[in-house]
Amino acid sequence: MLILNQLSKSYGNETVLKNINLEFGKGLYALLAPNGAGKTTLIKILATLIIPSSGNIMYNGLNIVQMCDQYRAEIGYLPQQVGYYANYTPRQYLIYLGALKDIPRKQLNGKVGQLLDLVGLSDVADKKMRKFSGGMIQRVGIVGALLNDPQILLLDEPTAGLDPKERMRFKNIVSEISNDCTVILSTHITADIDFIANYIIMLKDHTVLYHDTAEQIRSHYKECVYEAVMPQSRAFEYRKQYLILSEQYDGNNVRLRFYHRGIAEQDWILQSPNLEDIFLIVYKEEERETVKC
Amino acid sequence: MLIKEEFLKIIRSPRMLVMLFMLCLLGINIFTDFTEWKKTVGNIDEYNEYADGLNGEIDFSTIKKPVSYMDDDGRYHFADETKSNNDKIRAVVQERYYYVAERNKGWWSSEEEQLEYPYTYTGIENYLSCLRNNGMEDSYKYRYYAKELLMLNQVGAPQFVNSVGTNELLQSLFGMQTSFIAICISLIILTAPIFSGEDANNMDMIILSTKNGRGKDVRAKLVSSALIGFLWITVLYLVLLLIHLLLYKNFSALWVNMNWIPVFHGSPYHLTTIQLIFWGYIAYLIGGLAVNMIYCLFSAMLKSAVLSFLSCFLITLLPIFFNPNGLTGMIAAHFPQISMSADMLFGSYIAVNIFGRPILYSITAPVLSIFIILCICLVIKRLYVKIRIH
Repeated sequence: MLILNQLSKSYGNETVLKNINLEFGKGLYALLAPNGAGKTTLIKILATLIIPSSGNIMYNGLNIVQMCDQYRAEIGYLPQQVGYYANYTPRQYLIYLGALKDIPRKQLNGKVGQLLDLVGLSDVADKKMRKFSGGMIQRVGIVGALLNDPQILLLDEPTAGLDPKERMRFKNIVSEISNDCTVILSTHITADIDFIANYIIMLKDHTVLYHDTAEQIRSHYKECVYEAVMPQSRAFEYRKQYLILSEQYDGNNVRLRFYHRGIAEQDWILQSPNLEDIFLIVYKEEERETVKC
Repeated sequence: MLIKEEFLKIIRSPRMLVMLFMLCLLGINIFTDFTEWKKTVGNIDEYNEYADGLNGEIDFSTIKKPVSYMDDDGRYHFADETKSNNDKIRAVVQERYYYVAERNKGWWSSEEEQLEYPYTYTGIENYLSCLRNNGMEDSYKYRYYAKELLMLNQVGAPQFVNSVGTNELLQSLFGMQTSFIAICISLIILTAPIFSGEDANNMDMIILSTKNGRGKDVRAKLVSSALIGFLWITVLYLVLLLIHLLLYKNFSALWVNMNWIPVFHGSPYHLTTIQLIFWGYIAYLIGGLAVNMIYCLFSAMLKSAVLSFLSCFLITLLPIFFNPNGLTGMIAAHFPQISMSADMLFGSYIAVNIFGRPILYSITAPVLSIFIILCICLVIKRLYVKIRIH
């Protein structure tokens, strides 16, 4: 069990994270927030790459600062931009990472082959990574993070730059892994975590806004999302009045999906909110309020 | 395992190709020099046969001042093309013989102007006698020159030995050009990105989040950097040594006292040429390791590989543009890279005043280098992670 107690991080006067309290067990935890909200900072703190300004992190009852290398032996970390050596083959790269993770050589050879097979890279295991696509590098990166059978897997925006096919493959791999360990995945792309995340953590104003299942977060916005079809001339008025979640043009008409709390008009159709709607509501509402002020 | 992986990382890097290219250029350069010598002077076997016959004590009764065919760069030019090969060889050997005889005579010189800064055997003897007459037997100056005289006494005056190729070998092995340019630049290319290059590859964060990424890996990087330095210096040294010996086939000069070889005529060290080659190699390893550790320090403290390269180049090349006063100033400005040069360590008598006793520079330089190595290792171990983690 990984527990964050009153965790804060600031750089000078700028606060990035404030009083974060979270608990992680087994499963996939999605850290959902727009860019610059502090996701990477939180992941880096968990990877012991940034020292928090205050608060502590306990893993199985022990402070991770005191656990030191023992804690790092339990984690797998995939940064936003996967580091690699262009003149290395995936096998050479992974053997190097294995040495860093203190995995015995005999065990390592088998493990590398097995994991490369899992991510579908066995056939290019001995080719230089210089010519690899972003998706292939990302898959090598995830193998690197998994080499030590981590109990905590930290993935920082792992799908950035991947095409839809690679994204789907990646989602399946992560979902499978999350059965046996804690996976903390940061993203601002809701499609990445829809249907696979056990819990969603949304950060707002430097602190945790929601830490719940997707279903429970949706329930907060149960009767707030509507769709209405109208002539384009009328849409302008709606844009001013409501938070528009999507627009779909059809000839002279436009189908608007929007957010509204309160009494609905007769021609509005109530919709079940998806994660993208909630993301827009939570973070766009903030923008609208700022603009109004 | 980690040391092996870090070592392989350097070997596999494109920088290694640059190094091999440099090595080839060096080999080609020596070969070209030899070909030119052969074209101008003649057959090396005939030369060795004639010159080896003169090895030993100088016979002053036969010496006449020869016509010099050597230019300022040490290359021979014979204007008279009708001269036979045999005559050319004799002319070159006689010129060398005459030069050694002059140095031998200078050993015993006691000209008055040398009394201020004595360096010849008789000059030092006279100077010590002056100091004794003035009651300065307990002074540091007296001890300094007494030690030099003792060493010179053991060595004896330079005699003639066929030094073709060996003179060039010692010049290229121990000259400043080799230690500063070939070794330092090679070490910069190999070592400067050892820590800072990880940031450019985005590997910094991955490495630091692993179990061994902070302790063992830092050690592995330092050890592998030292290993590659050792390996590179050894390869370079062997290439220079073997090419010279195989081309010039002059083995007789290896077994005589090193001060018989023109480039080391003034040396007070009682070492044979082969011993000098061995101790020179050890000096390269210790000095090279100290230089390597300084480059590692820059690499560990700076996140950018480019900045790390530039800093290492500056720290090596900047002192060249200084004009420090005297030998001591020059050594201080160029330390520790200067401690790699056996020319500086064994070429002349340099001693440092330690508690009123003259301690040879050939002892103090390696000791100081080892001290620098240990200090830098400790600094890197303590600061590397702190700099990268905020």
